Amino acid sequence: MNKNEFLNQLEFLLEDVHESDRNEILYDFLEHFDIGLANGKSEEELVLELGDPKVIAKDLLADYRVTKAEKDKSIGNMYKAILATFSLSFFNIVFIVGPVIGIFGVYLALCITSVVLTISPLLLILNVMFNGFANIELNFFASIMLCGLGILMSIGMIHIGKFLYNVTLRYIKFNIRTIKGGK
Amino acid sequence: MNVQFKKGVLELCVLVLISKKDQYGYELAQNISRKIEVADGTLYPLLRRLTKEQYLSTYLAESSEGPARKYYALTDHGKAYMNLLVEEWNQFSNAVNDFIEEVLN
Repeated sequence: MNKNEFLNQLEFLLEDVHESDRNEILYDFLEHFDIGLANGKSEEELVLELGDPKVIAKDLLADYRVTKAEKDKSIGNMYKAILATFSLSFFNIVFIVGPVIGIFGVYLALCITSVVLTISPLLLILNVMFNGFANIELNFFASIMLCGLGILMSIGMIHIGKFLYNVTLRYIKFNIRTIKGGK
Repeated sequence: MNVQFKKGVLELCVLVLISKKDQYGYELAQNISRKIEVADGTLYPLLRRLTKEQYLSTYLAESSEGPARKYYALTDHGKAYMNLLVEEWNQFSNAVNDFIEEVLN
């Protein structure tokens, strides 16, 4: 592989990266080639020393995705950041996906619980439709209480969601720092 | 050396080398690969990350031979971070050396 092939491949692999960032990255490698060539190395030698563009691109992409998930908070961006991070190595699949699935599962279950509690007065209406007005006072108060509990819980879940998002980001960053692709 | 192992240490090496003297990417790659076997290309993502986290700052400087070069310099923030990493590294390597000595000697 020569200089142009290396740079073209890197550019292709980084097509999802914002143009100004991508140009900056490519410029750094261009400079590397210019100086290396001026020091009497061949293009092939320099490419060999730089290593696989795929490995370099994975590293850059993971970092780019995490930065994006930090700036623009959305589930989609978080999903991309997680995907990019565990593409770095198999090791990451175990260390990121395991805890994330576990915690996310519990979170989801709690979210569903809070929604069900909040709509419990609707269940009361269903109850009346099928069972008539037996025990109506008790059921009415119970459903109002559960509804209130559900609303409080929903508010809590929103805060916990934000907290989990930030913690996951920090955990991913820690992983990128310690586990990265290499030679 | 084990890849996972080496990558964590590479960050420390980069910071220490730059603390001695501002360097451009190619120069840094040469200085590191003289002692540690590492793909030069992996340095650039690392340099970007360290710059983004404001441990390093960059500036362009003309060179007598060829085009302008992008130099990396250690910030105060970076210096504090480096000292922390050095301390952690010393503790860690002392512990490992102790184990090796105990068992092998």
